[in-house]
Amino acid sequence: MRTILLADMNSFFASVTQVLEPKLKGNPLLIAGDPQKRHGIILTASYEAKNMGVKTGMAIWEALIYCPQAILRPPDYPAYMDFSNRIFNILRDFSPLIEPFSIDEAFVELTGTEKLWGSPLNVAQNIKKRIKNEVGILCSVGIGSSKVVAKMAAGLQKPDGLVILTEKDIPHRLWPLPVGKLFGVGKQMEVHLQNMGIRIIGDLAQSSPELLTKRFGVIGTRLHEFANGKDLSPVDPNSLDIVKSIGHQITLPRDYTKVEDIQIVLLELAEAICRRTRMGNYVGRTVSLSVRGNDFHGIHRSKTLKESTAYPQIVYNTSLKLFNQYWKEKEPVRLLGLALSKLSHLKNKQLCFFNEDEKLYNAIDQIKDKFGEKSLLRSSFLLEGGVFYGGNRQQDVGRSPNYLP
Amino acid sequence: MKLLATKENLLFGVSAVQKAVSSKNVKPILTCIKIDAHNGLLYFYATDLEIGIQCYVPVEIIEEGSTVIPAKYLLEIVRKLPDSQITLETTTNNELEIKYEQSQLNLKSYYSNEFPNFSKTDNNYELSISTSLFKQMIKQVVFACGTDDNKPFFMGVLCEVENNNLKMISTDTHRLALKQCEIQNISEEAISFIVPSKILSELARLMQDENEICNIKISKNVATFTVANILLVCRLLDGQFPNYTQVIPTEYTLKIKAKTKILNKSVERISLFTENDNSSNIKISVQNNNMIISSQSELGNGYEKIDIDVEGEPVDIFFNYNYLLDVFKVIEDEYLTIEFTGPLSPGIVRSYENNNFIYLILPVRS
Repeated sequence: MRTILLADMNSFFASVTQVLEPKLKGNPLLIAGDPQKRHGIILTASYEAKNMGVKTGMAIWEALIYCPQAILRPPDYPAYMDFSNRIFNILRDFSPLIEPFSIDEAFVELTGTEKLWGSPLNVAQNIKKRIKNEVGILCSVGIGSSKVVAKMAAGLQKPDGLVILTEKDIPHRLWPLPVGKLFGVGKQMEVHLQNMGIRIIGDLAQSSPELLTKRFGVIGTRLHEFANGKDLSPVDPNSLDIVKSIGHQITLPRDYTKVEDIQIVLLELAEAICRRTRMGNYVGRTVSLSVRGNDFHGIHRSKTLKESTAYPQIVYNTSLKLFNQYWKEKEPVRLLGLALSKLSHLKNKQLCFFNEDEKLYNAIDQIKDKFGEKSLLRSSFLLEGGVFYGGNRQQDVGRSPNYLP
Repeated sequence: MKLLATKENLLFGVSAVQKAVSSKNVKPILTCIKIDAHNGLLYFYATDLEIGIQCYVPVEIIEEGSTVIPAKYLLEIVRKLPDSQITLETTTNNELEIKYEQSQLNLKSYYSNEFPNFSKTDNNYELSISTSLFKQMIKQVVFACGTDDNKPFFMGVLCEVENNNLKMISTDTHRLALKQCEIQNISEEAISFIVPSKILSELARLMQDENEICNIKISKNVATFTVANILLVCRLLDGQFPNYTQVIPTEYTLKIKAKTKILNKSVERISLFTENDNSSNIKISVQNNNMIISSQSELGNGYEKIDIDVEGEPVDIFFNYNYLLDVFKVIEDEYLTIEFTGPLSPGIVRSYENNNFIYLILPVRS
């Protein structure tokens, strides 16, 4: 029997801001993008604001209806990275096997640590105490016999929770929850399951695994296991090291309909993701385009290239082809995203004749490394349609995928 | 139109032009073949506006005229006709009547005046080459063309004519093939143009008789190839082909001579170990008087050692095996040579007896 703990920071971005600005403590606080632009989506709300009805993902104006007195702050990613590392280092004191699951949550393998640290309850209390005292943040901790149970347990009590689920607890604690609450069930899947008459997690746990597998493939099998608290996947300290795709998406400052404007944004995105791909010494073969309209319906289309690349021209051409092929002409666009996947490391690189791109981008990369991302741009990015580099604020193109603070 | 023809002649004409029939359904008339009888000959035409093929065969004409028939059905019917005399006749209700033995088929036809004309161009450049030589040249370069339509000019073969010398160059940026030959050149100035690789492959298929002459006419953006009773027109590719001469090394650090067949078989066997793995890399190590070809993957590993003539410094180098097998297939001589210029620069493959062909292959950095 394994013992796995998941520590999930409560309203992480807001909590970090409250630690850095203690006078904000106890006040409704919203972390959101630029209020001037449509980037103004609520990334995190403090519990004070959440209690008044604000939810993550709302537009700023909408959140302010629920909570007019809320204080707004922009995100501060370097600070979050820093806090995140300090928290993970505390967790590492309790087990060598910790798996960061996102910036603010991590699994800890406690199997075999009982003689050192005592019961799991003890460990959980210690972890919560240390994070509160040393970092200043509250967290919800879940403990279970598998990763999925630990994750579900942590979700049961927020904020500042501590829940231990044994195998006996699963039927009465997890099964009554709506199926959409199960880890791994997204919105689409929830609809599919509901159409099959599966409404609560218990329904899923008790349906036939054969039927689920037939309907959904491997995912069906996995979800059936999850609903029963079974998950054999190990706590893998390196799980985040494998970069699967490098992408970026951007909400446009207004709805775009002109092809010329959309072309500029696609080119900006292609430049940005290729730069990050090169920073990580990768090349990618699959180009994926996401487009969303003003009614939030959207498409996601991919194309695999003949050869891997890390240069924008082909990525841009491919994305534009996908756009023209799948997006209705003149239909307003609110969000554009581009990603490069099927990545491989440059170590086995087929050399190339006439590779002008390589020479050119080597030089561009050197200039950008030294003088910053904004030091060298295509002039078209300064046109009215450009969203990435135009304006006063430098958009963060992100870091190398291998970046470790 | 009314005429008498043999099945053999009809089949020859229809199959010669069918590669130019459009496979897209945008304009239905482009999915057809036009047949036109005049001066004792039956002409076949097909075009998708990128490539056009015309071909003629002798027939016995009773009444001159023309019609346009969907290519798919015409080809199927002609293939299945018996080996007897066939009568073709257009009817007043716009059908083509095909009569043979005691039978008759009627095919709906299109109006022939809707079929696009083959554009007559000002042919300001002319050269000719024997079909046996031209076929060999095409075979030795066309395989190295690129397939990535993001770089269209690499999907064609660069042809350079200067005095009586024709050079054909192709590259997909990982390897480069160059073949040159003496030809009869009617014009005096030098010229270069890029022909789409699939046109050349089709042309090689059409040049069946080895002892013909292929006449080539070049205008600004159109090339016309004439071989015996077949004429092929195509658009040339736009774009600036990069300066290939600068990537051909002039010196080497190591030169080996090996039997083409033996090397081919060894690489084929060792390449089995790269399957299932994302890479297609094999390692070549040259030392003393032998070459070791090796590969490893999750499947296992293997090596083959072959005796060769060596001149120069030892080298360890990785290649994509496909690029090696491709060139082994087109070298007809018993021996080949490979010159190495270092582990991260091109290998140069030549046929031992014939220095009109060279093939550059870039290694994999491992």
